[in-house]
Amino acid sequence: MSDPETAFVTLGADVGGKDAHCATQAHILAFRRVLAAACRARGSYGTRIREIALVLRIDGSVQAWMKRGVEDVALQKRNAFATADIYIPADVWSDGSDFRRFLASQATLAIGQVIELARSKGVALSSDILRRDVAIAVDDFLEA
Amino acid sequence: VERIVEVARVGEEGAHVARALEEAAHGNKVDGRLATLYEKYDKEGNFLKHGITRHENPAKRYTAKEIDGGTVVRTDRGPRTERIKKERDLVERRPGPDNHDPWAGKRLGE
Repeated sequence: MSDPETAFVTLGADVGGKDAHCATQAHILAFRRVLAAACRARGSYGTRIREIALVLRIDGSVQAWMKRGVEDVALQKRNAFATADIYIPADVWSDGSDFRRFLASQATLAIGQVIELARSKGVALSSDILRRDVAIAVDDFLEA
Repeated sequence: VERIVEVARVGEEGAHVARALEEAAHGNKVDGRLATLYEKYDKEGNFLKHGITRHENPAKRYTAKEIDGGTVVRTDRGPRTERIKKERDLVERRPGPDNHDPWAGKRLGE
């Protein structure tokens, strides 16, 4: 289990309103906890990438991006930092039962796209171990 | 000694006022342009601060570094002048640990 402060996979959230925050906060905190528990600390998946930062962009009453799914996957070699945005429209969180499944599936997809990007840029990453650890986190999250 | 402390305190507040005036004169103007109020939380969901965006485009995304694995919640949007007043009111009454303005907590619990 890695400390949340040194977790390799982090899950940030840019939330478009209090309504969206109230509906999603508990699920996001739960997913952060299982990701920190299942994934290893920074440096465990290779030394070229220190962190994969997933950022949820959740539509709400103040801001809505009107997009869905994974976008803007990027790798900053200089900072050893990979990012991916996951856009979540309001219809996903307004029906609570769908939110966890959507979050889990899109996070898995985002990690897969980061792995592919790293491979295409020749950046070493222990992708099989990372995929397995993220799958464990997703299973724990969906079973809870 | 009390007088020196008082002068220092006034000086500190004066510096903040001067900085606000300087910002108003250079790009970060207090005017009718739109601004967004936000709340920031850490990775564990603990409230950190009230804040206000400096950029004009409301759809502009906070970067992963800015969010730092936590959560930013956009709570209100409107003319910048009014949002600044609202932010100050919130910081005076219900500041977070990362609100370091001299007026933070001055009206705590009101």
